[in-house]
Amino acid sequence: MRTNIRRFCFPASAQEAAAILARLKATAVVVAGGTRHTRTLSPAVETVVDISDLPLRHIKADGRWLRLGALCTIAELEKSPLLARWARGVIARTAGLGSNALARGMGTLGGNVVRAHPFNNLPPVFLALDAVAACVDGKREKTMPFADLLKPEVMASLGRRYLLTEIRIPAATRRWAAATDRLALTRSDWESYVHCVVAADVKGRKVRRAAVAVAAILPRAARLPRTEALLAGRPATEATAGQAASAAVSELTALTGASPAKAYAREAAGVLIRRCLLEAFKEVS
Amino acid sequence: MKKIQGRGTLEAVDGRLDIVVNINGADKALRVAPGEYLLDALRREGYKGVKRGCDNGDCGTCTILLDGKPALSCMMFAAQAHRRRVVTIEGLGTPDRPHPIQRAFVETGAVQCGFCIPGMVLAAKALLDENPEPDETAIRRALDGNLCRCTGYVKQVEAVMLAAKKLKAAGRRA
Repeated sequence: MRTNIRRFCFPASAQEAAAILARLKATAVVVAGGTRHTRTLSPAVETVVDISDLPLRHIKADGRWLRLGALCTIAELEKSPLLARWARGVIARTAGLGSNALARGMGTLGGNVVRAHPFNNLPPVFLALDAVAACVDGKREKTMPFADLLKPEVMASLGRRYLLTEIRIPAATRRWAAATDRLALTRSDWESYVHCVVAADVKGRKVRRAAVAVAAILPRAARLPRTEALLAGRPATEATAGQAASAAVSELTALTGASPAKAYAREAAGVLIRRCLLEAFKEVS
Repeated sequence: MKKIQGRGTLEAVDGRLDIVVNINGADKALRVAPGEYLLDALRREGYKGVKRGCDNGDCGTCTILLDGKPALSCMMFAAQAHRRRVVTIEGLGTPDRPHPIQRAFVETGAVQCGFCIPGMVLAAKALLDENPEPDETAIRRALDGNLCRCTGYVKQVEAVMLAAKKLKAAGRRA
């Protein structure tokens, strides 16, 4: 490929990488797994900042958080024994959705999150599990709710002023019931038409609180607060799942502007949410 | 295998970068264009077992092992491999002394036209390094990025199972 690259930097720390990116602005690009930029590089780029040496490849839990380093590959998330047990394995299962073993082995958590495609797999699961994103600039760390990270103005600053370093998921979600499902052309398709993730804190067959996140159907992954409010305090039954699915379709109709082109996707989202809820409820029964 | 630390900065001189890549166990100095893909650099250096297929990360025929993990050489710049370890099919065995996985591919008739096989053998090696006794599901999952247009994938799955069996019997790792 014809490029205007003149140098490759291999920074030793996330702060150093962020400082280089901040200084060079649009003439620098950050590369980790490499699957994003190598084929779509802007001609403005003169410096490639390869962060693959940074120690951001951890999957560990402490009393407060489950911590996922931004350089974990999708395959590492998929195969992690810790994630296989966390929230009924929903992160591992989501990581295993779509694409192929080679791409999952190269692509990173950071790339999947920062690459602002609405169909990317990981954002809805992090949203549903109340994740917090940790980023660094050249000097200090900044944390924010994962939903804020997805805002276009914040996304625009990632890989420029900020570098995503870690996703933190509250320890309380470890025992939540959760499920994920998506509609895509084929099982291996990276892009989905609709992707839903449900996570619920269920005690004594009663939903204490629930999170419902959708992706692909909206410009960026989002939670459905009205549907979540309907679920709170309800019994974990098939009837509740059906009512929540109908509420989700109405909520999505409001969010997508009743576009006929999205009608099928909205109906599909309702079906997926119902399926996810039934799966989550079954697991706690 | 661990990456060598302290890779510093590479500056292009006369439109070329000087990099050092450990290829099949030997450090090799390469002069590459900054935007050159690892696939092109390896093939230019004579590692023709790294095949060009889709050039888009979809077919897996350009698979190499990068620090022991399978990677698509068409999806990374050559400079990203600076001071890292690359294994191509040429580093696995020789015609006289093929690697047990290569032997298993021949014995089961899995080679067919042969074009996708280097990538598939390397993906199989990475799988067997991680999981010496994979079941059919794990094998199919590990090879799902390596497309074969000859026939189905039955023989390749059989080959990996046979290789696993042989390696276990010989008490060695892939």
